[in-house]
Amino acid sequence: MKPEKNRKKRSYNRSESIECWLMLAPFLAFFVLFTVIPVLISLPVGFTDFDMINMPHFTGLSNFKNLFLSDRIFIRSIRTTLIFAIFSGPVSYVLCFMLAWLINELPKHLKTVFTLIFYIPSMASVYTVWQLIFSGDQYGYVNSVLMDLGILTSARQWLTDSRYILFVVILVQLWISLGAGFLALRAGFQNIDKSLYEAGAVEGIKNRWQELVYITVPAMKPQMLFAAVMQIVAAFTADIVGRNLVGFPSTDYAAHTVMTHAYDYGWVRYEMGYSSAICTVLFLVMYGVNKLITRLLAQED
Amino acid sequence: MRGFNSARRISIDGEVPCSEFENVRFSYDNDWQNVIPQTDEGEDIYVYLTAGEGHNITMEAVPGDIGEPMRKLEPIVDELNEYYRRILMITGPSPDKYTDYNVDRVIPEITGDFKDISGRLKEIKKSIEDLTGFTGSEAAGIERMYVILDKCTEKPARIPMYLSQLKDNIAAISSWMRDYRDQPLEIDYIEIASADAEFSQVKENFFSSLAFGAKAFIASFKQDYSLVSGSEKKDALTVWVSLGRDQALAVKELVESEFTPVYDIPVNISIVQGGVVEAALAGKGPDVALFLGGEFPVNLAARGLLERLDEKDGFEEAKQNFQEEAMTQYTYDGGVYGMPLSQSFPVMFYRKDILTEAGITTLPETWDDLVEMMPALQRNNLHAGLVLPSSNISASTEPGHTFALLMLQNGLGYYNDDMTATTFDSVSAVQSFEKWTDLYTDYRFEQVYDPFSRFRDGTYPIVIQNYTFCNQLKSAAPELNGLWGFTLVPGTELPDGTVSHAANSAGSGAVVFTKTKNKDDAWQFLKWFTSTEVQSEYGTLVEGLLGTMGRYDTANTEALSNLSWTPAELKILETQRDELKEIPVIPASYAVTRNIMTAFRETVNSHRNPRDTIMWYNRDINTEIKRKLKDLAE
Repeated sequence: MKPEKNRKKRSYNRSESIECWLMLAPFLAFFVLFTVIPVLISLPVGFTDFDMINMPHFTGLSNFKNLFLSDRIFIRSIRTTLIFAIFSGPVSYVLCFMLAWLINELPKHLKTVFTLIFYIPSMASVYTVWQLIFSGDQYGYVNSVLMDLGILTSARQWLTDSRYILFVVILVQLWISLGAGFLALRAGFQNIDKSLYEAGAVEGIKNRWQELVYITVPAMKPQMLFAAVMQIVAAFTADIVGRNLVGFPSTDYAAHTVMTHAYDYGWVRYEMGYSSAICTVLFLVMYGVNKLITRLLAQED
Repeated sequence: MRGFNSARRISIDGEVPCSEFENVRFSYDNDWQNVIPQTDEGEDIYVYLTAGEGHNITMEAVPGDIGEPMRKLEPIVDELNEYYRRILMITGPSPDKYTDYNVDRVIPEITGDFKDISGRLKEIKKSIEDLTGFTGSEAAGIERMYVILDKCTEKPARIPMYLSQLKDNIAAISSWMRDYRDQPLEIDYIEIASADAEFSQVKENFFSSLAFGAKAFIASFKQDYSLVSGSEKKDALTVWVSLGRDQALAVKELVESEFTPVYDIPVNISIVQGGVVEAALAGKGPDVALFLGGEFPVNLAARGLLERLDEKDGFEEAKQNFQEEAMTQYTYDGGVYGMPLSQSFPVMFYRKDILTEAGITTLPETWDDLVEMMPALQRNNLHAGLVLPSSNISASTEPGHTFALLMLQNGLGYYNDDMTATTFDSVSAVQSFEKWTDLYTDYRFEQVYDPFSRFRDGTYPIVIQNYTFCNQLKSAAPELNGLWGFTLVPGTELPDGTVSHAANSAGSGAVVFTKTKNKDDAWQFLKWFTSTEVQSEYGTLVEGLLGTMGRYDTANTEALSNLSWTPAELKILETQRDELKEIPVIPASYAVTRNIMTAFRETVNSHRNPRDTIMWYNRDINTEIKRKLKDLAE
């Protein structure tokens, strides 16, 4: 009887796993083809001088050497990306969490409405509207409101003055950043077992803050990890928002992040080898930061 | 037009058979409908057609019933526009709500006239309602207008507050008037039946339309929308057109009727917008690409993707068709890699009426004249608009770029003779840069503005734009007809006393890729397409399809005179074109344009010293040029 039981168990597992693979197959195909393979290819391309037209020639470490030692703009872009990541990453993360928490308190129908309202900017292309709001003529909304209030006397160039550019870009990035991470946190809040709160009330939890720290956050660890990963990726690879909002290139490279720098070398200067080198460096940095955050969040026990 | 009807005058063989045919009404309907001309009593009208010979049916758009109210509305719009501008000159575009402008005391006749206009508007609205039987949304625009005018007459002190509403309503009525002129009508077929036959049914059955929809949906997966004309032959020439469907169809018509039969070369035409560069890089590009512009020809040529044209048969003759320096945009390292197709250059547009009202009688001929005019303009809250690159800085210099104009007029190009460095460290160049930034820092020119809206509402009576702005004005702002004109760009007085109106231009051209197998066929195609005859025909075709808005800015000098420009306009265009000088595109042009803009913005926005700034950024430009030269030499 025992061998029979084992045989049944084995065949059950195999057919189950085949079904799982079949369901994964379409997404896996796209993922491997368009994400994994390009990443793997760009690593060796970083060691060549590929200009997209002629065959690449091996140039060794010269790209990386130029990158760190003689590329002034790259160093500047690291600074810009860090400022960007520090301001928009954690702030956005906290914002996602707070909003998800607050929305969770609302009655059922309002929950959906508000989730939609906060999620839509991440999908839609909001740059035209923001360009209108920050437009540099006196008809732009910010300019005209401030001029009406008497704070300004003449139109400020929000999008082309290097003093204001980073601020504007961070603002819009925060607006757009409520994306997949936000949804994950929303779902996470809904899945918390209500009995935990009751048990907590019995055990002596006095206010909402303690409830948050002792029950909610530990229960949401997987979602918080996911949201953190998404925010880090978004913060470090922010490039489109800068390009679409303040133009390419931004005045004096004020909103020039590492990704924009890579885009510049790849598509404008036809130096794909150098661009791949930049992307490889960014990839390694992000990988390191991710590992750090995972360890941090995993220790929160 | 919703709520109204479109009217047509129908004539048979050049004669209108009866009075009902003078004004056949097609009422507005979303669905298919049969329209049968009938008498007032509802009887069908019969027309006699003699047998055995062909007949012509002509349908001509006529104003119809709506003509009378429209005729009364036109002068009202003109009067309102004039009042709007006079109020604007007193209050400025954003009136301060705490200031008493006393508009009714400065313009004493305003209340009386507004009352009069309001009365006339009420009459017109009534007559429109009588026509259609109900208040359409169009008549509501008129109602909004006279409501505002009544409010202005009641409380003249609030006129500045209503300024923006006045402007919006005037614009709404103008655009409605423009729409009515079109008398839009789409005809599917014309049916002629004798007395005993029945006209076919046009109301569609729900199920048959459902079946049709399903079939059309499935067919949409099978059809190749980008291929405009295909040829079965394997060695056909592949041509990609980087513009819209209308232009591609025009090319196709010309190719099929005049190129393939004469030269016996089959051609495949596809519409591909964007992605031509990427396709070429991937090796899947075409043999010939049309309307490729910007910095792409030079960049592709520098990397060996384009075929060199100046050593081919017939190049010298083909070159005569264009302005002297038009080839510059397609020249790299001494070789020419493309033929110009379109060429756009700047001219100065001006509002005659507003300048006269502001007391300016002569147009500025030089930059100094323009600056001298500024106090008179700015006192009346008016401005002048110059060309300034927007956020996305392209590698090729925009036509009319103020800095480029100043440099060229002083006889300087951007680069030295062998294109290895810029000329920006010379005294003349630094002075030009300083002059440019002074316009914005000392003389308060605005950096960002919308040329069309501002020219139309009159706040910017002088605007420098490409001459194609003309087409936009003619088709989208018809209420300004006769009130504006254009002339040469402001120039610089040279030491010998003459004034140089040099300017740069930009355009798109035709290129041949090196990977093509039939190089001679491709070159033949280029020569044919850029010839005067074909360019004129193409221009007329495109203008016929797209209207005035789509008038083609051909690079072919003679073809331009064959398009529908008036002789006066043509003269100005030719004079300006003769003075064009070009700024070459080099592979490192992106560094040049972006550093110039950064230097400009640092000087103007952050108030730095112009001379230091341009010298500083010039270093970056030269480093980048050297780097690119080394990069491409390997």
